[in-house]
Amino acid sequence: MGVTAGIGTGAAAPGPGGAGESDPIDAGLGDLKTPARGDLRGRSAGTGWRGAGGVVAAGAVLAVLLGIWQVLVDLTHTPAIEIATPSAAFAAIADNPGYFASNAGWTLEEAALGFVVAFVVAISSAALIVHSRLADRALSPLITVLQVTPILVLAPPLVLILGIGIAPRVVEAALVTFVPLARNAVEGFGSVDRDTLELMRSVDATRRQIFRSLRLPNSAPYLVTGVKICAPLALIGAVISEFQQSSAGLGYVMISAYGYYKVSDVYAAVFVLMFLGVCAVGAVTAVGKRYLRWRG
Amino acid sequence: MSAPLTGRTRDDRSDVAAGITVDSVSKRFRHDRLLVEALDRVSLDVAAGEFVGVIGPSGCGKSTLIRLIGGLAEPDGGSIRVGGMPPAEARAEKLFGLVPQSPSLLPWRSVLDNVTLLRDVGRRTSGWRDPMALLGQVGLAEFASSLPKELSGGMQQRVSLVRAFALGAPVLLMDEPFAALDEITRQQMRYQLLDVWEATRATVVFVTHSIPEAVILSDRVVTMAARPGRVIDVEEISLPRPRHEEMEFEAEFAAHAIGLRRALRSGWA
Ligand SMILES: Nc1ncnc2c1ncn2[C@@H]1O[C@H](COP(=O)(O)OP(=O)(O)OP(=O)(O)O)[C@@H](O)[C@H]1O
Ligand SMILES: [Mg+2]
Repeated sequence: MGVTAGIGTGAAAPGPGGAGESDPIDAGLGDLKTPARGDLRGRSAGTGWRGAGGVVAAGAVLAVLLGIWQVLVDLTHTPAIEIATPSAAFAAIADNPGYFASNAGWTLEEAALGFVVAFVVAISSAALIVHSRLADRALSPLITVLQVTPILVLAPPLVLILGIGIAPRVVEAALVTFVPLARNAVEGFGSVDRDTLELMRSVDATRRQIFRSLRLPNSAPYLVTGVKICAPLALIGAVISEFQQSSAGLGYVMISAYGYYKVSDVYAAVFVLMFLGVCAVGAVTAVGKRYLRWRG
Repeated sequence: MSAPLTGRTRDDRSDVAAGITVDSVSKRFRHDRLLVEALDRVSLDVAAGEFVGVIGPSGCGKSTLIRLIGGLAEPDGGSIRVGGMPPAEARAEKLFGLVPQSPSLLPWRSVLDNVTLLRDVGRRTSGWRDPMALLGQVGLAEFASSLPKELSGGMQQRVSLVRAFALGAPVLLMDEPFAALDEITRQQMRYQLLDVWEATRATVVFVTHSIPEAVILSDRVVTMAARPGRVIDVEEISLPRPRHEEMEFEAEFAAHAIGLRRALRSGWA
């Protein structure tokens, strides 16, 4: 539809429906080879068991990496002001869980608001783009311009423009998530099977009906991929903006901990942020699995 | 697999009978500097309730003809009438049932929901045929709630046939519906198609690359040639109806097949 998939924007390319060609780029939590429903072997082995096994394996790898980090810091006697050990970071969280939780709540709220704004705008512009050549010509270059704009660098001017408060953080989160969402939506709405489209036209289906019963469901796997990519991005966007100006949020925790040389708090905030991101991706993956069973 | 329908009456037949008139229709496509005459002054009359097969080499404009009749594209010259109306109007009147080359099932809908999709979309109020009965007729009753991915290619194609027939539309346009199937499945599908069609007697334009398929299905077979796309022969098939598999071993069948092969070859010269 006139928009070429950009590198690193995560424009997905699943096959047109269940024909089972290529998968969208899966930024999800492992387990890329879940057997299709109806595969008797997979069913009797029980997906629950496999899922649990995967979590255990991933947890083990993570524990080993954290262990190596801990041991290296301990053995080299690196001062705590230069780098925190994982145990120090976890201790910081355990010491003051309410502090981290409430600040995580702020960041989560900003990210979620920004994400929702970006999602709505992306879906609407994609719907316009696939339905109108004019909209395609007008909007698609804009998306590309936005894509090559270093949005993280825009955080300071956004504060100047939008002032103190939640607005610049929400806008930053929205800006970093918009392009991947829009590209995936355009691809999802646009990549419908030509024969199927003619079939619908042969019974005089309206554009709205074609959108509702063909383009929208067709876009589901693309949107799931877009959301998987963008949920963590929105969190990062919010935190970057909090670096500029804020009185709460994980970015605020990091900046103020730097100020007091509480390095372990910085790492603690990073861990909390990562945890939020993993949960978000995990939730989307689970929802996607539940609703995209029809895919080959 | 499918017992022939018994007790057919005229009442089962489509409520509106609609013939097709194609009068001196041309269609050109431009590919950069190359001008392709997809159809050059093609004329063809299909009577209401007639089954017309269309054969011809690749690129001779068969799909283009189907798309023009169905109002999915506009001719550059000539005129088309379906049930006395221009194709776009006929489309709005829900006169068409289309069977494309690929099954074109929506992968997120069950078999039954795929069959009813066009009814939901088309808002056609009358003439509907029972989807479950049709699925049963092609041996797919148990698969009504399966997803398309759980069906074989041949089964998916049968669903596509049922979807078109379920519309109860007076005009069926089929563009090589069996092209992707193996010879054995294809063979079975011919008779399943005839079975379902006999009950409706819709007007059919059926594009195929297979001469035996064209002979056993059609009342008349139109042979086309390429560049420019044109009609070079029309052959009446004298085999009586209902047709059955044994007829493929009869001399009459062979004579028609040979006649069509000759006609096709003359298109090369
Ligand atoms: N949408 C289109 N744009 C440009 N050219 C087209 C288009 N559709 C068809 N053509 C051209 O018109 C000619 C006839 O095409 P058409 O698809 O009707 O052939 P066909 O007889 O159906 O062939 P096949 O048996 O391979 O399906 C071809 O030369 C093709 O290149
Ligand atoms: Mg064709």
